Amino acid sequence: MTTAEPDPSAMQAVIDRPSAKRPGFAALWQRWGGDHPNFISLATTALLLVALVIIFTLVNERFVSWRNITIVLNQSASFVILGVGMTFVITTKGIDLSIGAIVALVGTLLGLFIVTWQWPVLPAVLLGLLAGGLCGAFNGICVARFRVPPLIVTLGTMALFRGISFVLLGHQILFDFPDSMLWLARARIFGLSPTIYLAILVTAWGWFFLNKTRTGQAMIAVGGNEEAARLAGIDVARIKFIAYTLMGLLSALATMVWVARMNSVQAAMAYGIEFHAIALVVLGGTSLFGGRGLIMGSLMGAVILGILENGLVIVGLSSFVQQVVLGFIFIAVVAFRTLQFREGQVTR
Amino acid sequence: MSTAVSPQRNGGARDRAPEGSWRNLLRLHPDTGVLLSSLAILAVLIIVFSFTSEQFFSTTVLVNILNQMAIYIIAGVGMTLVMTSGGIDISIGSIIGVTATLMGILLIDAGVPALLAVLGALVVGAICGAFNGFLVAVVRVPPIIVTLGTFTLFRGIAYMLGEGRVYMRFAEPLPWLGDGRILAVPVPVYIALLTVIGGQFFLTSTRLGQRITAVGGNEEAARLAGIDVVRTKFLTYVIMGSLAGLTTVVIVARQDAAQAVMGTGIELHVIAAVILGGTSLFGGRGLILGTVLGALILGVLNTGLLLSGVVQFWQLVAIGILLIVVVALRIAREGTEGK
Repeated sequence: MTTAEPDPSAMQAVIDRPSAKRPGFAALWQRWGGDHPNFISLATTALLLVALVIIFTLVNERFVSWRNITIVLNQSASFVILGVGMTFVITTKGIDLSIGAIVALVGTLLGLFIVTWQWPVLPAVLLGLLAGGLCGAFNGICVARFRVPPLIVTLGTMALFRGISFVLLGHQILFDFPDSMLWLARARIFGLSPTIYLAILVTAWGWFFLNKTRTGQAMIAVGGNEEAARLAGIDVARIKFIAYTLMGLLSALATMVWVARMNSVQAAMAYGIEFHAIALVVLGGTSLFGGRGLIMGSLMGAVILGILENGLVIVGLSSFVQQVVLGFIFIAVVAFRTLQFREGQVTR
Repeated sequence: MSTAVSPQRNGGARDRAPEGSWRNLLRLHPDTGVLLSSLAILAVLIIVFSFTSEQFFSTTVLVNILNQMAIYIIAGVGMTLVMTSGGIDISIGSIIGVTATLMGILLIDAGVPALLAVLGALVVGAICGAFNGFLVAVVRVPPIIVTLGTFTLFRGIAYMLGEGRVYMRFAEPLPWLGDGRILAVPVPVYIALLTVIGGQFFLTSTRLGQRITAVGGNEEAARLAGIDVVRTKFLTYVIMGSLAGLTTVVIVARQDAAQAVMGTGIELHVIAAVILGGTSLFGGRGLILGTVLGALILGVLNTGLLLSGVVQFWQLVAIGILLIVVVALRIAREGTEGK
């Protein structure tokens, strides 16, 4: 700007200003993307999914075999279910670190009911779901009613629920569940196990609940701006309570899938799955800062993690290296999403 | 500087009670009140356990508790700083895993003298902390998410480096750090004591320490007051990392072994100690002495339950309940009085 001579290209740039007449494609895209941030997030997640499939197929063509696809989907099913619950919680600007412990507690109870005491499967499963719901409700009461930060509550209940599991079971491993329990993972309906249909059902319901019901919309409002939501007449405590209770219930449901697949339970089971559940939600584009939940994104996130784990095994990496790769990808995605979020904040 | 920090807490002092009364005194010195409440919890636990177990009330048990809690206190000082800045670090157990593996490799595979291995642990811990600090301070990812990621990442790196090996039987000066005694008191207790004194001085009397409190109290106000928020947060995590390294040194020295799984689950105890000690969950108030009390509460709880013949697994249950109840009570109290 300090040059005395008028720069012809600068003149041209002034004439061609996007706002003048014909907005350039980039500008259009940016404006459209600004109006549809959810679509952009979902599209980038889908792109990542496709890229991974292509890469692993190039490495080993058996990757896209029907057999391997069903393996990946089966492995991802419980995380899809957990992801729906975690999407609710993170949408309300919360977090739940206790889900691994809830799974362990529900699994422990199932083991005691079905294997040790030889109860019929149905009442045991129903009681297991009830127990998961109660665990979630306990988190919810502490967060919503006593206003303890979710991080601290669920760190505490992570120890509490895991502790109870160990008190009940010690270091025993219970296995040999009856076939009616294993049906969920062993049966085939049109070539796919019931767990996959269950995961799809839960996802469809989760999408409907979050986007089409009043409670779901209230979750988004509470996460976006709690004070504004309260002033708009939303019962913030009730909404948060519901989010954590659903998370507990869905954790119990995921436990059923888990037990059906593994055919064994122990107090130390499902250690560290909260990292996976949170990672897939973040991969899917749900905002870490609350107020935006993408159930379909979480679904893709769960499949991406499933593909990565499966693919890295096929490539021949040890589980230690896998952990490092997953950690790096998680951090890269989170950093990317955070920068995206900050940018959006500045421009709007 | 201290006046710039404290009005947030003291500003709302509505003097309903007469001058010089207990309530008034506590309102003007909120930290003292919190420390007293932690002390009360500790006293109650000690009284209860001296009834349930005959051996509980002895110097041996006291020294044992102090010795066991040394690692939680050392890491707790770092965690107090992080939480005072409004953050959290759940990756410390994994940082301990990385530094322990590294110490094993340095001492056994490379045959490095103990002093260098200790320095190596501190430096690598600081580097891990710097990675956390960069993501939290510069990229501005929420601390819980960053450290959840590095929790997995660092542990994976530890396993990659260690490949399941257990390094054992180190040359003499190192084990002394773990089980040596000076005047009948174990060396780790002295290390913890020095860390606490250093931490207390750092937090209350150095410029960086006071900046950490200011940033945690009100980040925007701190920025407007000319504090480099990014640098302050970054350094907080670096300090946390190097103190995790120091914790590793004590753990490795005490067990006379080093392996990649070390430190698993320690974050729960350390965060519990800090919170039981009264450091604010929302930043802006850090009580190093409170953290010592918090660690002692955990130690007394563990040892007391053990001596009373309760199954070991109940400790997890007790810590979880205690953590939630104490925090709920403090929030209920501060919600009505503090703000």
